[in-house]
Amino acid sequence: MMLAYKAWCETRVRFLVSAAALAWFCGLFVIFRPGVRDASKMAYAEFIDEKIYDGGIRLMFTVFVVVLGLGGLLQEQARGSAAFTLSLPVTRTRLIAVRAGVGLAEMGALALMPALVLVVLSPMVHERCPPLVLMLSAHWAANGAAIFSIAFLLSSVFGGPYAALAASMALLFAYALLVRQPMPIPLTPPFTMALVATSAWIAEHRDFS
Amino acid sequence: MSDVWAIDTDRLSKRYGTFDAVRAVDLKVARRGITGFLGRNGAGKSTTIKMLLGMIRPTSGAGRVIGRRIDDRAEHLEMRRRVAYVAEDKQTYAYMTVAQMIRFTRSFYADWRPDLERRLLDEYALPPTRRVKALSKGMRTKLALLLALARRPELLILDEPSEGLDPVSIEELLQTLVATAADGTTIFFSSHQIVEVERIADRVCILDQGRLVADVSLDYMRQEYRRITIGFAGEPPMAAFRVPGVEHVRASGRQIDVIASANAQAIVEEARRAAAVSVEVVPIGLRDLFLEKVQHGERDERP
Repeated sequence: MMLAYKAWCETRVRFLVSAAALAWFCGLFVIFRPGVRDASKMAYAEFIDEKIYDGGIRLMFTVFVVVLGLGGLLQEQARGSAAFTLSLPVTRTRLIAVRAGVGLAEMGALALMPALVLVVLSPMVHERCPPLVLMLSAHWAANGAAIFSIAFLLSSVFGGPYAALAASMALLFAYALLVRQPMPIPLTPPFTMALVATSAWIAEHRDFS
Repeated sequence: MSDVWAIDTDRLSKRYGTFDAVRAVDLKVARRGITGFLGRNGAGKSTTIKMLLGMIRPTSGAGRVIGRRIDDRAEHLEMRRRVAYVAEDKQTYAYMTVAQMIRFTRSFYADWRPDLERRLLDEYALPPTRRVKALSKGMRTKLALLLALARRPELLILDEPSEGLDPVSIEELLQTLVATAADGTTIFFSSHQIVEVERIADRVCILDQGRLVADVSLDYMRQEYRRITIGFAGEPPMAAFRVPGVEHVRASGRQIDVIASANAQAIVEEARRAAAVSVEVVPIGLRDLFLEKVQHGERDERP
C-alpha cells in the first residue's frame, strides 16, 4: 500500500496538471463549440468524436501519458534516493509492478476526463452527452496503456528523464508515420503487460551504483 | 562461510570493462561490535557495500550478509529485513515530510519500535511536518539514522556517514553509533576519516585499489604494531630484518624504519645483533598503519 502511496506522490503533480489541462481544453471546446473550426456543421456526437477525442486534445493526452510513464529507479538513482528504495525489503519487480499499476490507473483517469467534462457541461450547452463517450474513453485508455508502457520501458533503459521522453516521442512519431492507425485494442493488454514485465526484468538485472 | 560473521565474502570482485573496482575481497565482519572500512576515495568501499546490499551484482566471488547469500534473491530479501543501510548522501524522498517518511518506512518492518522512533524523533529534534528536501544535511543524516535504527537491525551498514557534517553533528553521530553497538547491533561503516574510525571502531578493514590490504583489531594494533627506527654506523643490513612480524622496511641513509605487526622485541634484538647504534620503538596509530598499507599495498594477515 505504501509503495502505491510513494508512486502516487511521485506522479501526482504530473497527473493533476494533465487532468486539469485536459478538463480545461475539453471544457473550452464544449462551451465555445461554435468557434471551433467546422464544429457548427457537425452533429454533437460527431463533434465529440472528431474534435474532443481526436486532433489536438488526443495529441495532448498522448504527451501527458508519456510524461506519466517517466520515472522509476533510474530517475531515483539520479536524484539519489535509489539506494534507500533498493534497501527496502521489497523486490524490484514489486516496485515496478506497483508503479506501473498506479501509472495505469492515473492514465485511465485521464482517459475518462473528456467523458466527465462532457457529462457535466453538455446540459449547459443544451446537448445530451451521448453514451459514445464511454467507448471513446475506453479506446483512449487502451491506446494510452500501450503508450504508457512504451514510456515506462524506455525509462528503465535511459537514465535521464529527457532521454526517455525524447525516445518515447520519437518512437510514437515513427509509429504514427509508418502504421498510421492506433494499435488494435485486443493487442494492447498483452503489449502493455509484456513491456512492463520487460521493465521489471531490466530492473532486476541491472546495477544501481 | 560461517554464520559467526555478519559479513563474509569470498573473493568478491567487481569489474567495469577493464577496470577492477573490487578485487577478490575476503571480508569478514564479526557479529556485534563496530568495524570501520577505510580506504581512499575510489578505493572500492562503496562498490563493495553496494554488492553486499544487492544493488550491484558481483563479477565473481560470493558473499553472505547475516548468513544470507547476496546472490540469491529470496535470501537477499530476507537479509534486507534485518539489515539497515544509510547511504553516503542520506537521500530519501525529497517530496515527503519527515512524518510521511517515517510512516512509509515503518510499513515495511514488522518489528518497528514506535517507542524508539519517538525517542529518536525528540532526541534529533526532527520537525515532523518539514519536507525532506528542506532538511539540512545534518538533519537528513539524523532522519536516515532514525529510519535505520527504529527497526532494530541486526546489522547497520553506513557509507561515509560523517561526510558533509559539521563537528557537532559528527560527534552526535559517533555517539549514536557507539550506543547502537552497545545495544547489540553490528555496525559496519566506511570512511576515509581515520580519526573517527580510530575513536569508535573495534576492528578496521582497509581497502586500497579494490584490494583488502588490512583487517586488524584496533586493540591488537595498539598492543603489537610498532614503528622501530634503527640507526647504524654504516650501511644498514636490510636482509637482517626479513623476520616474522615485519610488515615493511624502509631505508634512509644509515637509518631504517621497520613497521612491525608482531615480534617487536625480537626485531630489536636482531637490530642489536646487527650492531645498531640506536633503536627507538614507538607504537603506531591507525593513521600510520593506513598510510603504510595504502602506500605499499601489502596484504595483511588476520592476527
